[in-house]
Amino acid sequence: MSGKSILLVGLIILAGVTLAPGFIWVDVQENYPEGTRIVLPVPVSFVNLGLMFAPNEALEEAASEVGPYAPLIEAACKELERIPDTVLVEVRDGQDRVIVEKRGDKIYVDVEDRHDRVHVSFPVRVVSSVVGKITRAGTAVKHL
Amino acid sequence: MSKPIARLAILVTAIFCASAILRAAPQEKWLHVKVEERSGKGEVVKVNVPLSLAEKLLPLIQSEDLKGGKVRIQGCHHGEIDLPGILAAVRDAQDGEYVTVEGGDEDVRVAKQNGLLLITVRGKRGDHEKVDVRLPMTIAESLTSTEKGEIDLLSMIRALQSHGDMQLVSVESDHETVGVWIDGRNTID
Repeated sequence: MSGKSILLVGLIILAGVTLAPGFIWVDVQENYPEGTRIVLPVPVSFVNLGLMFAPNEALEEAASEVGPYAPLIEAACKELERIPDTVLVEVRDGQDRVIVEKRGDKIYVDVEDRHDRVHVSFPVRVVSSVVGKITRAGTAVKHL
Repeated sequence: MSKPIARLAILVTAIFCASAILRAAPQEKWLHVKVEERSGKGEVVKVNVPLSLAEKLLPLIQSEDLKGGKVRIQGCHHGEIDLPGILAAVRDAQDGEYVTVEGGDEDVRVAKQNGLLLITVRGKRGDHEKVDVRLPMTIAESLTSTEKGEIDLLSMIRALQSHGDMQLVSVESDHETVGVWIDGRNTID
């Protein structure tokens, strides 16, 4: 394969990865002045790529653990996508705070305590899609 | 007003009314739970769950005690408790107080009043707990499945969907307050 072809294939893969709909955002901040902050936007397609390269044993194990709950997770995601925006769970205990919120087509999880602030958000459909892929991959590995 | 204009006005009004009726889809009901600690750091827990979510998920849970939306009453073996029978008896009975237990620690009262099953507990010692459960009889009946020793949670969720806003459970003590209610709002505050 020529250098140009490799570059082209690389660009196509990169475009596919970055343009794929949705990101999983992970934002961790140490809760004191000059504390470290790590912001990690993970394209959803990275997760799919990761699953493609995951070892068979790991996939099989994950599938056996997640598989029984797959219909439940799928139904929950479908319903969560449909319902109006809302704070599903809110826990406040002194300085500690946990909020799970559905906003638009995403789930936002905010956790804050004396030491850290963690913010995670992801499209609802990512969960059912990943669970479905794990289950299918696990089943395929079993039949190998 | 000339006839064509009057007809047009009637037509526009009819279209407006029809679209308003079609848009008025049944309101989504939400189950709310709020727990507030009165002592300590004042922990607050709030949960908002659409009943439709519970309705979709319950049949999919297949655990030992919760299967197909029905929960087995703990400690009840071989259908010792005939809950459907008990509730049918209460339904057919007149309003009144059915159970009154005056204990050293608390008083318990179970009554039927205006189509509601009322359970009240009043603590006499410790944190002076006050528990009030108000359950419409139609919902209480829906709790019962055909199997003895089981509660049909799924039917209860469906029955709650068709009911108006209501407070189901309230607990007050020196340490905390707990509220469980349903309404058409997707927020607690």
